[in-house]
Amino acid sequence: MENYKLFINGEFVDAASGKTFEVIDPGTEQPMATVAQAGKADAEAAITAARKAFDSGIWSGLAPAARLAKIQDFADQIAQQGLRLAATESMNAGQIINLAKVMPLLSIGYARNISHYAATKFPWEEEILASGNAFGPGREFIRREPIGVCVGIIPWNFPMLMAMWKMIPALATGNTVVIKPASYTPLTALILAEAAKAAGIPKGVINVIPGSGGEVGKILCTHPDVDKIAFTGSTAVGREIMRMGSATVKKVTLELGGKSANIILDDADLNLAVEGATYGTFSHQGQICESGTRVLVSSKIYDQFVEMFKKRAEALRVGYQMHPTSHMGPLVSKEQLATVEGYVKMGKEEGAELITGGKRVEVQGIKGGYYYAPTIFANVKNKMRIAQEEIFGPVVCVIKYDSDEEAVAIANDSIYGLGGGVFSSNTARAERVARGVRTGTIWINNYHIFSDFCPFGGYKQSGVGRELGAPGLHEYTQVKRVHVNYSADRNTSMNFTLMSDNKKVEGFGYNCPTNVVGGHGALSSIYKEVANFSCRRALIITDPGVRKAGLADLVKDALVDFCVGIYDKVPPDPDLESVDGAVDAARELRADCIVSVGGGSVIDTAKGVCVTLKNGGKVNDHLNFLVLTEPQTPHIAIPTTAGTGSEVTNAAVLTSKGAGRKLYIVDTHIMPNTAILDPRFTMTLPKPLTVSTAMDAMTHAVEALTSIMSNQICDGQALHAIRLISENLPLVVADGKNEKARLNMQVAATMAGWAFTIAQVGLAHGMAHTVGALHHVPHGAACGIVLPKVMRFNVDYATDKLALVAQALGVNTKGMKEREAALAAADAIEALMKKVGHPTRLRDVGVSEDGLMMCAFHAAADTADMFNARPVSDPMEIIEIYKQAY
Amino acid sequence: MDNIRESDLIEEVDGLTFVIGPEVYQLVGDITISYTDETGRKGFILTSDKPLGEWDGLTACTIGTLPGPE
Repeated sequence: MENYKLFINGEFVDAASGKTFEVIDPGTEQPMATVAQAGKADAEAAITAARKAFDSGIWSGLAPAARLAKIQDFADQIAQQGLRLAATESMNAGQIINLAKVMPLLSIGYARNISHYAATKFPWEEEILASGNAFGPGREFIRREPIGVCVGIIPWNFPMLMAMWKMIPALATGNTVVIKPASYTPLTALILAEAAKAAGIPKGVINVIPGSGGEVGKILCTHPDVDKIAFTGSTAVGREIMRMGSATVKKVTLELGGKSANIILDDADLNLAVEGATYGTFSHQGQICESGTRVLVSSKIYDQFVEMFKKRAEALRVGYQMHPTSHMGPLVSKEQLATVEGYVKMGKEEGAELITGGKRVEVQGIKGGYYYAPTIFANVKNKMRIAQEEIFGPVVCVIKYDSDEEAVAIANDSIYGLGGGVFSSNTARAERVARGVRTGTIWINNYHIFSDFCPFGGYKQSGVGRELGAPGLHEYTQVKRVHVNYSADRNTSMNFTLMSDNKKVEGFGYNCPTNVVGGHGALSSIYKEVANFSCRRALIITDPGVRKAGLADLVKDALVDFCVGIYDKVPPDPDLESVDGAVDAARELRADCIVSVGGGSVIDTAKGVCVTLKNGGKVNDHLNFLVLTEPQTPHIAIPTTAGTGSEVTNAAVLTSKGAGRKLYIVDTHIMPNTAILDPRFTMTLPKPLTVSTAMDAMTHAVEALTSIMSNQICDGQALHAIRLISENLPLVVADGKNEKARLNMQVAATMAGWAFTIAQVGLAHGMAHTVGALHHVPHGAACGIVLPKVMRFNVDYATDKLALVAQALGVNTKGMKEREAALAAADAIEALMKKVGHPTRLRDVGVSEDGLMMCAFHAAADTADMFNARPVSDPMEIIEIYKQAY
Repeated sequence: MDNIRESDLIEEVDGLTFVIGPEVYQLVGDITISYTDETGRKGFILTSDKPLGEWDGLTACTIGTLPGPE
């Protein structure tokens, strides 16, 4: 009789205790081999070997391609042992030889397929281009790394294949393994160990220790040097393994029990369905976890089906497993036989109708053996214990149902959810039923089909995690996310300012790619700009006022045949629904380019349209910060105000009714591709709108200059914008047709836009947003009114910058102390506003005094405050500013 | 939940009543009940002379009580 030893650290060794146990052939009850019986010491030795091998890097440190080469050698050695493996598996596990003989082939195929996938397609590293954190820029990527020492606890039904399902994904991903085969069936795992040794798998990478689950299993599941446990077996033992593993938080995957429903619909091909039910239940004597041991049959075909099923089952040949004519072999052990007999007795007591089987089988020419007849219970109620508990033998319950919905309900009325089948001649119907069943695998018009790349695992108490395929590989890796900071300067990372009194952020990144075309007749460039994008279908987006002024039609003519339409329904304060309306129009017209003609509302709407056209869905799906990774639908912006600067900024401000406030899309990729500053488009802007939009631009410039994110490039843009506004606003107020002045105002708004889109704004915008939302004050007007008050509030935190503002505004600061000059800037702003007729008090624009407290609390929470020169956290400070502005 | 039957074997030990079906007793033989209190594993351990499978003695179980009659 053959003697098998433990495989630990690359060597075949006796058990430390010297103990051995006998393994028998269940078809004859005769011993076929003795096997060393691992105990506590052997388990610890195996774990130590696996730990050492993993930590040394001799396997985990190899590139996946190098591991592939070794696993291919392993597969070749398995092929060399193929006949021995098949015969041993059949004799030891009771698998009929026609099944056992394909096990080596399946094992080799799995090893080659999965290790090749791991070496060529598995995402070992993944770049995360858009991290979703706007305040912590850097390179973000993930690495997948092996987990470490992985224990694989193997069941007795498919010992060789289950050993491969545990070993190969672990090895392919760089782990080391300790395999504990079932005590009934340890032999093929040990032959696989021989193959591993012959293939030159490094010592300690694979260890195989057959032994009692109660003793060895406990060590494996609680040892601190074990990182992961993969177990296939009963739910009861699986629960305990999960519990034991939890003490050291081991990663656990479990493939547990099942009581899967095989649903026969009334339109099923009955010959096919009967064959499927037979195969699904009686294969390998029903000792398969996902067996379809509840066959649910429509009442319309029930009697006919049961008769055919009975006849088919009775035609199955139960015989010695090595005999090629046997359809079924023995159960694995006398204990399993006793369990089956117990359940059959229970079924009769519960009132189920025994149609066939329910008895042991004597095989001619064989003395003994654990043979049992294929057994069918009919008229079973799903609440019976034989329908709820896993029997793991050749016993099936046939349950009648009336409707598809009832079939699904019965199928789901189980603590298990491992497999299942649907038989029907209507694929759509079969899929609908399949979708309703809560289970990990469902076969339509077949059963027990496994494939290397198709994941397998359970819902509910049938298991945790998956085996096979890419999901199976992922179970043997863990994810490490790496962040490499964009800047190496402690004063540049904004998060550090939380722990510091100095809030100024040094260092910057400047990226403003918009192509700006400005000047008299600049509109003519649009024809070439659209062609530059390789576009041919431009949709003009505008508002009714701009359309009425004839400006949209100017653009239409400039686009010639590139223009596919004009959408003129943008409201003054665009909300998400209005953006979606524009998106629908763009989709209907198959627009490939958007041209916005209007103020900030129109341009922001167009930005939302471009993102939604590119990425699908609705604009609500895209209200995010810095998550886009590629250019959007091309956008040409033609501002008709001077202005929000939206023609060059990275933000789209949209009102959400659901949120009750403005929400944003912020991304470099939504900056318009081209901005056309043609003064003709602002010539007809009425005076009140001219001055209020100019104050919006002024506030952008002043706040960008004093922001904690200010930088030298934006400072230059901001200062020049302030100078241009100061000099040209009075000119356009005096003569709206002054084209040069109008152009200078547009340039100022654009430069202020660049400045604040990088350096951000501050408290003045926080306060303006609030009175705009609560009291419907136009944004520019609100900005202008509060700006000088906020400048005074900030004077001691941005003294130098505000002094420069004063100079840009034309104040003669010679001889002034810096603080005096800074305060003079605020005075100069107020003087400018008075000169051009801009409102200077909140009461003049409809804000009530008793509303100021509420405004202060809301303004304190505005995001813009984060960047204010002086820290803002106390609403009482803000109420004082509102009162000054009232 | 199972119910006591006439054929069941009953034994009183230290004031506790133990019940086992005759078929189960024939299968598993004498049963030993011990107690463990380890990290991650606390409760009663049942082992038998003729274990049904190799996981005999692994699972720790607790004793629950049935609700009394209302």
